Amino acid sequence: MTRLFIVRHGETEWNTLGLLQGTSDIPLSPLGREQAARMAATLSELVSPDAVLVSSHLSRALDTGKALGAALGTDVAVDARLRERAYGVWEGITPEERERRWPREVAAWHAHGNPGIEGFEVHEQVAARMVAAINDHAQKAPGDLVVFTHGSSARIGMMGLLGLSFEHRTLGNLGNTCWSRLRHRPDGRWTLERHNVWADVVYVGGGA
Amino acid sequence: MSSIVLWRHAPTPANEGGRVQGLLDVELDAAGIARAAWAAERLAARYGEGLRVYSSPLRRAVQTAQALTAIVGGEVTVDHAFAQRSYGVWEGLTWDEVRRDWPQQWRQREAGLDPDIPGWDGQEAVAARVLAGLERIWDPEVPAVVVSHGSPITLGLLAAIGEPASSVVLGRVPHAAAAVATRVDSGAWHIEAFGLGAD
Repeated sequence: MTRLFIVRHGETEWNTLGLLQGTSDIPLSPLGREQAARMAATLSELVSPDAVLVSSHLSRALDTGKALGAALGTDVAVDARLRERAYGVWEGITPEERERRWPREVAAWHAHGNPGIEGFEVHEQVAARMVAAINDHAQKAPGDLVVFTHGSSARIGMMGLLGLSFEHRTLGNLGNTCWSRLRHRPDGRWTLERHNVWADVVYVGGGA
Repeated sequence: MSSIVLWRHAPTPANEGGRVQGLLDVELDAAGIARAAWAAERLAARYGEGLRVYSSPLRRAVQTAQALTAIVGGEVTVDHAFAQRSYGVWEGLTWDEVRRDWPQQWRQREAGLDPDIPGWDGQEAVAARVLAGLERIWDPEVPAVVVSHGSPITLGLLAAIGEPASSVVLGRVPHAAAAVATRVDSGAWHIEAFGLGAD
């Protein structure tokens, strides 16, 4: 593998409502599909022609990945280990209800801790499956590897690859169809080279 | 919660020639000024007027910062906290010459360590001064833009997130591109974006 791109899915209706999706399978909104097309037009120029594309099984990520797959003329493999963090009983609950019913748990979560609610997947679990999946696909990719995943799984996966502590939120979340780029060093360590960039902020070179 | 944009100066002819600049005060040429203007338009569109703009004292940084104040107004405040580190005896050499003539020290640098050469500014000190500068100018309500250099930007960000200066978790922001560091009410920093305006 040459470089790893980690891409977050496009917008969904639940994103606009502030609802946690987790492992709930919510489709892209019309805007989300437009965002995916813009991402694909730009990333298809940046990744290697033999790039390998792998996505979470959740449709918002897979449909985002298929936009790039169509632009490159390549299939998108599916790996469920790239799914979003499970938010347990918080999935689909409004932020107001979450604050009202679980004030202490929400405070712990905002401090980047484990809220300890039923069904919530903790940082270490998310990191372990994300890192395992990315390493598996990275070993097989001849050129760049492009992974389509979700806000929390992307951030925690990157923190896991980079060996950053989970104690603080040292990396911000990716926006919808924003991506990060990492390089695997010869000594086995990873370096973050881009974070949370999107099509409109890419410099396309001379005279643009 | 608010952010500080760490913007690397636009490329100079020396950068394009693969030459180590460090404290050499090389000016931007017309191509560099055009790159600065391209990025400045986008920063201005995102952060608006009334931005506070700080710069390293070197000309290439001040010229880059002026591309932004030309749009958002105000003056560039020169601040030595964001100065380039000294590259000691490597300044003026090409990176190819450094690799050829200082192979052992080159490898130290590649591994994230300070090369053992005369005049080199150690990374721990650079990281500490940049973070002190960021914390001094940070305002909970108003964002700021700091024009600086490759090493101070990466080292300052590492210090902000509590990583050692020898860490290799962050690469270099390309020339004329920016990183965004956000500080939340608890005082903790995170890296919001890295490499905006690059390819």
